[in-house]
Amino acid sequence: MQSRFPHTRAALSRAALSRTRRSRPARALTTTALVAALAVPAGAASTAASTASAVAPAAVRAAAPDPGPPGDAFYTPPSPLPAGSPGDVIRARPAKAGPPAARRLADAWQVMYLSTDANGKPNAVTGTVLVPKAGDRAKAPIIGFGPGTEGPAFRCAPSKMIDAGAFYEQSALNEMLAAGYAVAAPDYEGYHAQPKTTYIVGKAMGSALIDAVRAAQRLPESGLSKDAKVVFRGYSQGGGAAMWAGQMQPSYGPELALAGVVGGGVPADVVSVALRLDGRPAFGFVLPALMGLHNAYPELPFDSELNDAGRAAVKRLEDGGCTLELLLDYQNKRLKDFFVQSPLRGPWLTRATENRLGQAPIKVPVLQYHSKTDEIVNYNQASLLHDDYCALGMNVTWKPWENLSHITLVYRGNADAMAFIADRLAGKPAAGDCPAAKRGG
Amino acid sequence: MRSTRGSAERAAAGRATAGRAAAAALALCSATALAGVAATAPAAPAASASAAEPASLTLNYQCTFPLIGPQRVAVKIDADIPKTVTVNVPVPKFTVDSVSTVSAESTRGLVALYSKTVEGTAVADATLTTPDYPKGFGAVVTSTLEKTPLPASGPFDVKARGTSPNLKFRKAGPGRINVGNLLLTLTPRLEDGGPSGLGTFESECVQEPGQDNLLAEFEIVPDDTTPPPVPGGLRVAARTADSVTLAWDAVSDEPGGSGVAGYRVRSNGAKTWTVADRTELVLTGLERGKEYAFTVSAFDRAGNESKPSDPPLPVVVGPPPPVAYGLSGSSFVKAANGSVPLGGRMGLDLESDGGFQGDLELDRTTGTFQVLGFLPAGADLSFTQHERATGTLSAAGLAGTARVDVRLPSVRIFGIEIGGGGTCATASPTVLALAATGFTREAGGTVTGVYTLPALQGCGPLTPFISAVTEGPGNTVTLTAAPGTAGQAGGS
Repeated sequence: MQSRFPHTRAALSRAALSRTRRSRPARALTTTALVAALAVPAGAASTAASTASAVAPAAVRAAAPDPGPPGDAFYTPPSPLPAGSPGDVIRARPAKAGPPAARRLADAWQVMYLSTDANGKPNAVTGTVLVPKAGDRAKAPIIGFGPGTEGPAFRCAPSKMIDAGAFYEQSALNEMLAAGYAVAAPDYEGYHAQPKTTYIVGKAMGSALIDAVRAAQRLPESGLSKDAKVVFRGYSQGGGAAMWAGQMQPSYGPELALAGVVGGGVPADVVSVALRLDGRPAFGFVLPALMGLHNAYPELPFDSELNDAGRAAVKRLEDGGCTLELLLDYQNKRLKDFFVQSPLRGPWLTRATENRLGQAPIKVPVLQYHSKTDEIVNYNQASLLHDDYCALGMNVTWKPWENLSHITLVYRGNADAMAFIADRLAGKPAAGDCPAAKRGG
Repeated sequence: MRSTRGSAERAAAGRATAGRAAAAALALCSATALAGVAATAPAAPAASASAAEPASLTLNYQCTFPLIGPQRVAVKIDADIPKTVTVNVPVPKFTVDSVSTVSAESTRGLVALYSKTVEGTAVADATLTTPDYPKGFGAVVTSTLEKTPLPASGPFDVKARGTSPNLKFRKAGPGRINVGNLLLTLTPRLEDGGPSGLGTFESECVQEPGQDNLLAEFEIVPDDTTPPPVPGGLRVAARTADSVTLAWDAVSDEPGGSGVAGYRVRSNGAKTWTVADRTELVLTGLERGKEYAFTVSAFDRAGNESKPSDPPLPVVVGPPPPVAYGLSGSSFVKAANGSVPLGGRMGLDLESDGGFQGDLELDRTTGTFQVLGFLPAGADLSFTQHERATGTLSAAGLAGTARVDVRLPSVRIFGIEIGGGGTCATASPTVLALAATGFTREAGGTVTGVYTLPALQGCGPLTPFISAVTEGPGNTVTLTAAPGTAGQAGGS
């Protein structure tokens, strides 16, 4: 795709090329290329290459965005990336909002927008923007909706699932659309041919979700306003994304009129979640998490840690493994079935800790809910997150559930989520229920 | 002008007959038909304008399910669709039943979410092509799915039932129903009865290409209130031992009418048989010998029926019952030159083909003769049937053969016993060849015959003499047979 700003193209292209050609043997090359790019003189070039925030003069908000190439090629980020700000729309095309009830409720677009990866570097992320047909779009609130785990293969991308009518959280989308809310749902980073998803990597998810809301606002056809009230919401991986977006919003997305955050089944600590799944029926979620960390941080040793079975599993997952395969095909497996030795040590732990929730406050009321018998994302680490949030002085409404599996709460928590969102959008204060002793000073 | 069946009646008949295939077949016989009476039914049942014809269609769909993606669902649709409907009359509602086979992969996905049951609705697109809408118009059938337990693995069937939409047509002519795509709305539930993580979701089902999706064809018939003419020519076309074939002349409906759909044959005003497209009916299992009176009427596709044919056709089925006659007459014995009065009875067991077997019983009698030209003689005669008589009884009359042993208990000359006795009898049976033109079963008639008396034996020392004056050909017999059992000796 042609960059609209040729004077930065040269510098950006070198950096962009090295980022998008992120094949494993070329890890060292990436670092070298980045250093080379940074070393290029001339203020505009180095500034554009090194910062994550907007620098290029005119934002990429033209009258009608590029529809992009047809078919799956839509998902392949342009190389080089265009200059612009996080949240700028690179391309957009009409899509289906889901099965017939959804299509009656809303118009939808698949979008590709500028965002920022876990290392603070520009990337391009795809997602879906849904806008109710009824009501005044300029006044519609926007829910930044983080989809739950869809899986690491290209075909699993949430935007593909929504368009095909196979999105398992369609009930939540329909409820929000029927309530008159627009929805911005990122795919998260890495869904394209030869996928490189950064599953569960909090920093990548947080920016992807914030920028999805921006993209919804900047898509001309949406009719949505930059002053729209915003709520971040999600369950499971999406719950993590919502909390991350909440934590990052004050610095990364300060212009958004954020009113609240809802996160259910939140994986706050990927190491805790992964270790608890070793040898358990839901082990299938561990491999994509490790793949995701590695895709976000290519310097982490991965190939050398995998055994033959591990390499085969990674390939199988990247080729076609979605949520059902994660649930059914890796039951009771262990890390030692796929790794020469456990990768969860040294630099992995460092990166995992960087992406642990609860280290910065969310400035708006939060609803956090979790099943005490959650068999995929263990309750204990969610409860610890709740404690951390209360210690940070946040306004948290905490709802533990009894006796429900992780995936059942995907649906059964919706009523609470919708009630909380409605109250926040109406401007009602949230009581919050952090115990007095746990609240910070 | 009102027809013989009002539209409310037709609609009621439609509701009554819109049932399973068996019910549709039973509609051929009226509700008063008794067990044991069978009719050879024709191939195409069409008792009335609202008769239902079972329609069945199996179609494969690709249904997109959340988590699982597109899966094949095979749907078998069964509906009893009216064969004809009348313009401007609301089509009687019919039931559409379906059984959908859901794939093992779908079960895998549902079970992974801990689902135990699935329930919901199915909305099917149908296209109706009729003279009102020659390019087809879209109709919708909504069915409720039975709450179905999921197996632990493997495919499973979900039953559903829906009813046809409200339909009414303005123009007469052919119509057809084609089935299109489906939209399922499903709620899997967990053991606790609550929804699964999917909640209630929609699944669009697209028909796989290359299938014939014609569900049924039907005829929209004009609003006809005139019955066809009364059929004529009702007759017995054939008979067997226990059946009768009736035939009649075909009729046509009036010009512009809905067309003759069939005929109704009634017996004695009570039992009814209905045929379509034929002017013939084979009836079996009728009561033998009973007097039936048959009528035939014609009805059209709009349900108008003609008056029954008049007068009724009387028919008796099968061979008539046995009949007995009293016999009264005499026989002239040529060799003895004298007559002997005869009386007795005759019983005939009649076959339906006109043959009979019979019993001839002649009473003991006495005759006077003139032997050798001048000797006054007298003899007592008694008769025993040697074997059953056989013969035929037709429109020409009666003909048959009897075999009788003749005994002479007593022979007298000048009143003096000269022989005879218990052992005095014909050496071989006397063969009586009998005929009676004009003989009828109902009235009897006069039977005549010629016979030869065989030689006598065992009549005493004068047996040769006695035999010589009795045996020989040229004997005649005349008997008047009258229905009843009494028989008087006498007559000429």
